[in-house]
Amino acid sequence: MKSSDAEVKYPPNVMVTGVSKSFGALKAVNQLSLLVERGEIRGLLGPNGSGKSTTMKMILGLLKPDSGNINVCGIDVRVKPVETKRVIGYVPETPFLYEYLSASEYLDLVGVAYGLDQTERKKRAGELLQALQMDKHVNEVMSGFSQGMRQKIALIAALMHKPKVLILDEPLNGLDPRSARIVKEILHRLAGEGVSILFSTHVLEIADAICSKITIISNGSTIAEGTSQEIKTIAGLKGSTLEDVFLKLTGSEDTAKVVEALKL
Amino acid sequence: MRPRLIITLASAFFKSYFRSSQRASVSFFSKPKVMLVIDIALFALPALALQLIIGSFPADINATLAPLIVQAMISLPILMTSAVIVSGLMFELGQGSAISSSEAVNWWPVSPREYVAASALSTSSLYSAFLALSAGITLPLALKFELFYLWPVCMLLSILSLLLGAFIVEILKAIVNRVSSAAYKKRGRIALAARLVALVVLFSIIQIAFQPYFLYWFLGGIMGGIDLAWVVPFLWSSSAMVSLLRYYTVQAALYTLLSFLFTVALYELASQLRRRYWSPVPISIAIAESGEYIPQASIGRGFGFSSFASLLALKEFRALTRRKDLARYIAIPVVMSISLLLPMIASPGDMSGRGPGFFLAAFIPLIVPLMFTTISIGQEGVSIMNLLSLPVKPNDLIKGKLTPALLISGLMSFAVIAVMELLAPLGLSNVLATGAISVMALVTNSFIGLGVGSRWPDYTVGSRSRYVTLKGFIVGFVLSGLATLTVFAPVGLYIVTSGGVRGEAPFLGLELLPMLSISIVLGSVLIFLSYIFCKKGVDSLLSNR
Repeated sequence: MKSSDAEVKYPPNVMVTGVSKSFGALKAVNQLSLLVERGEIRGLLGPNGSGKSTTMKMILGLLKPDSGNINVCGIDVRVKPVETKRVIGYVPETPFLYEYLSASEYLDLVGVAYGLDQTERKKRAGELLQALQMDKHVNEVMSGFSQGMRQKIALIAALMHKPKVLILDEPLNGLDPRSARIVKEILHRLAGEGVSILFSTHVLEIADAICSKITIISNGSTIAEGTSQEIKTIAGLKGSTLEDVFLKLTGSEDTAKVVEALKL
Repeated sequence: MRPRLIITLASAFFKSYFRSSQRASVSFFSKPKVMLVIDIALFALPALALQLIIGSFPADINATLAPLIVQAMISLPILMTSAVIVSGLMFELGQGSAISSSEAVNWWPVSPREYVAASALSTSSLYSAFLALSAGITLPLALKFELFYLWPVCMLLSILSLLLGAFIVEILKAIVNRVSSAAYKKRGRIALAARLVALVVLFSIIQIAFQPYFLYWFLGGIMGGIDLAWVVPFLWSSSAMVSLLRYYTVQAALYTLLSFLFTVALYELASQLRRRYWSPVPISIAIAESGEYIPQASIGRGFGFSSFASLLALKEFRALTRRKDLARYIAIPVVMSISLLLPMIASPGDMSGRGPGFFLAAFIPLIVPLMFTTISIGQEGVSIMNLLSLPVKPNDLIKGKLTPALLISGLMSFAVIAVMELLAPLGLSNVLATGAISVMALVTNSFIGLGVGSRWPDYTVGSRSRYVTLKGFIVGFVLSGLATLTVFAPVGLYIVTSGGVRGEAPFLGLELLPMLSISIVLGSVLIFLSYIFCKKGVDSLLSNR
């Protein structure tokens, strides 16, 4: 964030207040509250099925919360879903691209949906394609793309309209080390420009390295929140890794016993 | 060959048909044992019912029934084959290459012969109900007319024909994969277009070849000249039946043996093709030489279209032309038109052709736009996430989704009306009126289809997917049927009563212009109502209400 901006107190770009969501008898998200400030990279961690993806989808307006409020850049998601989507860039856990389109045709469609003209699309997508070494594949039909290539196209599609909020569900899945490093640096740069990033990952080293704040959720509720150091302190494991802290907080410390019981 | 493995695999394929789309309404039938019970019931109930009432049939009905039952038993084997092939084409070949190549069975230690046997067995089981019902109806009638000596042979040959059809489907699967692979090896849009044309031609030829009109013609040929039927292997089973009917037992045994050998030969061919084209690996295809990203200039602004709506329409066209599972939807209206125009083509100038011609003129604006629009949301599959996560306005989505459906069905409607007019003329004013109300029906049914598709989408993209739930299909068909009837009724009433259909003298004294005006007023009201229905559906889809 620029120093002059830092002095001015902006409201958080993402404000989730007391949100709940159930699927039948399953309470996926329970009274969850979450703030993501401008320029913040917020890691959203939790075991499988803890409600991370559901929370992200509710912020994007893909799922309707049963209760609570969600506000993105001052826009109520429920009242103005199209306007909300305009300021968000989203990379789902599995990128569902139109496989029968070429990368170029797909990026055109996404760029036009975000209101980018031809010059802007050429500039923004062209730079990102080159950075992620996808420029040579841009005119290939995406059905033959590997998981990593699809992930790169999904990332480019999410970044090309310069979103104010980025929602990234496991964005580094399948990326080669070079591309993963580039994406991390892009995220840091975007955060520096005031973009709010909500980032979900199961690779806790990555979360520790790039997130300015972390929220750990379990069974749909927040169980810890703060910087990596603050969370370690809360867990009483100050000198430990984030992985140890995560396992303790989510009650999954019995990994050694589980493996032992397998008798492999 | 491991019979136990084949049975287990066949059972798994059978279950996956019912469970793949997570349709709760059919989960009850997803067990082979349940299907077996249903088959037994379908055999036993009509057999018992007919046995109870058959004694009370009057003599003149018996005289009519006797040749019919003979014809039915002769036709049954070839009908079984054609039913499996036509259904197989629509469902088995509909699955995308990504799904075929990622089928777990591809990396299991299963030989091509075992796979083909299991797949054919499961396909045959799906149509066993038809055979069970036929057996239940024919048994008491065969007993009554002293044709029981034909019945066991008929059933044996029908089961063989069922398997024959299933093996042909396996062969067609391999051919389609071969066509796809050949297209993928070539570069550019022409390869994609060539693949689409090849698939549509293949689908159309097979469907028309096994169309009842042709089959009837063929079967008529057998009855008239059994000696010529030996040149058509698909008809050997029916030839065996005819031979047995004439007490040519050696000839009957020979044709039965030939049918069996032909089925075995096709099984072997299917296995060999499976070995060679076992999995359609989705290889990437470059559609342009350049390795540079050159964004498309904004297209299609004007006519109320935004750039996004135009690009969305283009995306829909690309989906129709590039996705193998959607190619069949282009083949359906082609086959439908040819099938319905056949009687007119066979006897041009015959005024009795006006009846089916006018029926077709109403049928195309009903079925074609409804089909393309009801599937337009569900066919997105998991990729629907793109449209839901992008800032898409409902009207842009409506325009983008409806444009391909309207263009394809519009072209098809006008082509059919033009051919109809050439073969059995209705007169210029009648044709223009039919064209005008066809446009209204096209628009109305497109709105209804998209409204239904957005309310009841089935996102299962895979084997036997139909992209709309059964409920949606029924609602769409009923609403569109009523709308088409309403729009066509006034002009249709005029054309029929003015003698336009059968070349008779007018008998109600109706005038075209008032009747056309009524059709247009009704059509306008329906377009407005269907738009509201469509808009509400799309709104709720996009805003997750």
